[in-house]
Amino acid sequence: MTGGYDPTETPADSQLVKAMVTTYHKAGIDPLLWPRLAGSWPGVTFTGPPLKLPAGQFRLGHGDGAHAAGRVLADRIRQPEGGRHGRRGPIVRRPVLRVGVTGLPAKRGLHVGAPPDLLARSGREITYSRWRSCSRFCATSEISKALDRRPSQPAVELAVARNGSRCPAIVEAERVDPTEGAIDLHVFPDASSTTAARTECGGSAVSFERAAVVDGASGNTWRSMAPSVGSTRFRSTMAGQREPFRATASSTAGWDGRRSSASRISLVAQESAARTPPRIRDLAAHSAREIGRRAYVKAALRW
Amino acid sequence: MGTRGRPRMSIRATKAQLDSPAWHLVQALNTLVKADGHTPAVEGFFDKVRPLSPQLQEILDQAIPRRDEAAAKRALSVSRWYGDEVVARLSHRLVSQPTINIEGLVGGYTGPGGKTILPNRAVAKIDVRLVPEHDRQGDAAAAEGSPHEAWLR
Repeated sequence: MTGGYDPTETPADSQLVKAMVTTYHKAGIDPLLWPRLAGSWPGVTFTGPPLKLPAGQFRLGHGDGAHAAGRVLADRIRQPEGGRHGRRGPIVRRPVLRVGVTGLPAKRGLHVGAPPDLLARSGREITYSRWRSCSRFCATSEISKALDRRPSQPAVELAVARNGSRCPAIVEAERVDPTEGAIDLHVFPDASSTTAARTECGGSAVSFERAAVVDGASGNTWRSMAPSVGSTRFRSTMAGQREPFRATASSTAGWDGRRSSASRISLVAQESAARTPPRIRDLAAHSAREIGRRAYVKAALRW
Repeated sequence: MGTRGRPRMSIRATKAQLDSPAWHLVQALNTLVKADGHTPAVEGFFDKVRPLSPQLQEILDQAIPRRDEAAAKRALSVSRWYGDEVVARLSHRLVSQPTINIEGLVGGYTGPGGKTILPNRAVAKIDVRLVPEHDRQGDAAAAEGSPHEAWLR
């Protein structure tokens, strides 16, 4: 056994799912519910003991069933004038790594994407600044790029893989003030509590909180209807250690009106002690391997 | 509403003096699925699979007609599904059944030309997708009870 996690399940009639469905309905979207994804994520961190919280994944679109709505976005990118090929190109499809699920640091940009129909409805087209010069070439010909949106737009990170090989991505994104733009947020009363609760878990102090579930329907733009549907954070801190083990996970993107958080799953281990509950330690180690990027780990620690 | 669990494990076969780790690995892997190439064949693997509840089945039934089958095929660059199954059947299997997948295989020499070697090591990385009421510890325990327990690490 080299890692992994148990299946996760949240009842369809849970408050979280109900709140999400309501959010979509308020946004004029009839959501499609799907009983169980073929993929996996360590949602059992929330739904399993000791927390036993509802957790789910809600997005505007999964593209081809890929991880994040951002992949839809990436697939629809039109090469801007003066782009990588020096000309304005067609809408291209490109393999994309790490868009969305393990995305940008919370304070540096909102990771969003939107399906084409929603873009059409919103009457807006996502535009981008020029490609930056290639960030990096590896010997295996992989390219990592960073793509910035124009000012006032959230930043998007793209790491383009070639030939199935990988190299360390370089995160280049501008910090965006998420309070820009007229977006009214409404908090569902039944999910607005952010009061932390505490319990004991294998000698560790575990605190968790439910962030507000927000309804960004009033803006009627893709941005306001971005997956700002709620988040659940989980943190485990080993008592008495200067640099504690820390596991942080966000089940969905959140937007509390002051900052945005990427839709991501991150569990960060800081030399976790043997006393750490094995399951959490395994999860953290597994996720750290999945993430595999120091930059991201640092970002997660700042979060 | 949920996703599958995903324990991962490696199966490693290492060389005895005149034995072939690669062949043993292949034989070990062959015990994991049935002849159709995908149905898990591990004894007891389906014992813990909880059938879809009527509520989830209803959600699935409502969702299937709303999905664009043609678009899904285009996205995957396929013209037909496995076994020419209808969407309702394969969707049910997709959301309710566990799977055992080979993530990767490594062993021996595969470069240009040939080498008359006996690979001293062969490794397969296995990705098991679990559904309720599976748990990965129990899954690992089941695997360790297999005829190839000695190779599990």
